[in-house]
Amino acid sequence: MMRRRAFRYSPWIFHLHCGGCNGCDIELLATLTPRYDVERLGIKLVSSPRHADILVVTGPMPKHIIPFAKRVYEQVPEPKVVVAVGSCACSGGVFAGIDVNEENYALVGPIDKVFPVDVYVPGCPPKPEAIIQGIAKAIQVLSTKAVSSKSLRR
Amino acid sequence: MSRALMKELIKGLLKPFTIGYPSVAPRKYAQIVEGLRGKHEVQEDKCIGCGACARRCSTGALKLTDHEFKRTLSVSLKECIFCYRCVEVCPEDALSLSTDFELARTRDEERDLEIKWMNELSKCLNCGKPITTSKQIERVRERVIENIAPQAKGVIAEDLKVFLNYCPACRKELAYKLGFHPAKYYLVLSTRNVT
Repeated sequence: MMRRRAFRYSPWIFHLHCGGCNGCDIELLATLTPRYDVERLGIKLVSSPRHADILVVTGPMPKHIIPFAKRVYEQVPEPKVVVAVGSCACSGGVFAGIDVNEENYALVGPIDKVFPVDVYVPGCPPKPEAIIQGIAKAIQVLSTKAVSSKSLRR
Repeated sequence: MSRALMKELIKGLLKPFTIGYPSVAPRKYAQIVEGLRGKHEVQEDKCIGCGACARRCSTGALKLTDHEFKRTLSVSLKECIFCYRCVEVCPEDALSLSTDFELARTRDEERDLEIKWMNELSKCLNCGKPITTSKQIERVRERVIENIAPQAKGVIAEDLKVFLNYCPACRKELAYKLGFHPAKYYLVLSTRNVT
């Protein structure tokens, strides 16, 4: 019970940038400003993935970033939730081609081909409010995961 | 201290600067500007299924698929970048973007991010293959008749009923049979040049 409360009231996020145009990153930084003041929800940006609960991923995931992204994903302790912010992270967006023939040679595609994504936040870029809604959904997923995951039970 | 600064100070004291976005239902509010592009709104009775939106789409989010006399148009919001081009190009103003920006979904709710609507395809009178949607054929007929001189209206309206309900290949054959096809004129011209 205590653990569930702790996860619900202090989700720490780590921001992972995987290519892209930086638009989503700027919106993500805008959500952390006093205008939206996410610290009233306990959301805090941390500088190490080892401290994080929620991994916020932006960008279309180029091929050369895969090993680093995987390493960061593995460094986040269980239970963890991945939020894909922006249409690039959700599906490849403008960077993926329209046809199968027009596929981009430098991309793997959406992020869920590399590691499982729990919450999708579409938008190009999404509004700060939409990102907050996505993180709120991620907190719900996190609190259910915190109860069910075996790693926390002793 | 300048007047503008005083104004800002007083404003700051009276009203909180923070937008309390995910608050409880009655007080739930967000900053929504006019012209904010959010989820698509489709008026299915207005849509004629011409597929102009699918052709104009910049990421391939809006797709057109024909299957057994049914044309399906679908928008995948995960791919959409809300560039407004589909709304711009729609000839019937059936598409619009609402200000609904709350599109975050978990993996289980992913189905909500797909909007689908259908249109019936019409059969070719000669060979029975699908042509385009019956609504589009009707609209084209209306538009053609609008721009025709009143004395020729009756004849052409009856002709169009046949011609528009033929598939392109059959229409060519029919035109050739009736002597409308331009290839015949080319033939005549070429023979004239030789002799």
